[in-house]
Amino acid sequence: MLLAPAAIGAATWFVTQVPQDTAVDAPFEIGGAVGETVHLGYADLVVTDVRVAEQIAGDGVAQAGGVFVVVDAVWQASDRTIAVGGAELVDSRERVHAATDRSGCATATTAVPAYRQRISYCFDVPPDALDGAQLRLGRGGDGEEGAFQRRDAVAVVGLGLGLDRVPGEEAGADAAPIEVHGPAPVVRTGTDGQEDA
Amino acid sequence: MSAVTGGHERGWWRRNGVWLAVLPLAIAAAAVSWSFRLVNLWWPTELVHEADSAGAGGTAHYAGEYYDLGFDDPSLANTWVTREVDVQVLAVRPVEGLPRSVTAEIDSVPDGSAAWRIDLELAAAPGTALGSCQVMLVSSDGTRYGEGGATNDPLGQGNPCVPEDAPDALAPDAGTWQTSTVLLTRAGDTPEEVWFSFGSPDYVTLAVP
Repeated sequence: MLLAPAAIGAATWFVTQVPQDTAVDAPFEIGGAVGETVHLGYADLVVTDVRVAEQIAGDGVAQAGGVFVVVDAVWQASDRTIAVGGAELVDSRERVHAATDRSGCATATTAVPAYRQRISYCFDVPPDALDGAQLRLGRGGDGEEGAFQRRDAVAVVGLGLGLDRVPGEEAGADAAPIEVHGPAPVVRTGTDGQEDA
Repeated sequence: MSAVTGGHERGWWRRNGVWLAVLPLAIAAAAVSWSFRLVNLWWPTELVHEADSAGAGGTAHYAGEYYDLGFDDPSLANTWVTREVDVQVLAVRPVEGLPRSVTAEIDSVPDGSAAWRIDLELAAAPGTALGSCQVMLVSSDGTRYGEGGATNDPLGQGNPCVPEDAPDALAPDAGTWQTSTVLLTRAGDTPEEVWFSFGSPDYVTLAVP
């Protein structure tokens, strides 16, 4: 008779010892780099470009509190329409920065199987967040812990940034405001690998 | 371990017989208690109920409930209404050009994509609400194109269930009418079915003629 309570107790103890966030319901992370196609099963993702500046220009010009990191990405769903949102920039200190919707930047879009969908994610981050920054995103919305989260696979893309990209430093700073556009289908693929809507 | 009763040892299976008998019931109870996820999270958000199907050239009968907010007919406000529409696929054929729309995001077929025109004949009682209509193309591997209807249409065509010049998204007085819509697919993917829906969970399937 003691067997059942002992088994239940052991199982309960085991579950409480397992970290909920990192082991029980953590997504499957799939790594990638700028220019690589990340195969997530439900969609393919390519980060085509990463730009850094103090200002972005879309619906007007916005000034960053820190610096803007604009990540250009292209989605194509595998077999059905999906919502992709909740993009996060995670820096080397594990700080999580949510995408901003300032100046017309989009924080989410819809991916479909028929064509590639372009989106620019904008992040306003402190300058020291550039070093080792990674983009984390997948299907679902409102961030990794958000409601209706269905991230069975999450892309983790190294952005290849360093402190030398901080505007005002000597190397790599983009002085002019970054032009940003809303999500749109990619109609033509340029010969240089850049996507033209 | 084993228990001794009346000088006879009782085996593990006999000692736990009651609990083993109860175990299937406990599992069933757990499944039932878990099933709220099925009802509340999965069923309303996925196209999971095939209400009808039709072969090539046939007519499928769509019947599905929706919660009416009374925008078109105030007398129906805050009631569940059964929407019934008959649909027939007249033709599905590839096209080169895209329909012109001031709300279109693109004006030519994207690289790696193909465009298909779907001609439908619909029949419904006059005044039937046709909002949220979705016409989808489905390929042999199950890929669904056009899901989301006008909300996700980069061609800006509007509701695919109503004629282009219709003043509202209601079934016309004639009771039977024809519409056309263009959908994009991956290049080289040939659609085998048309799916017709007004949102989850109900849909009907029609074979491409």
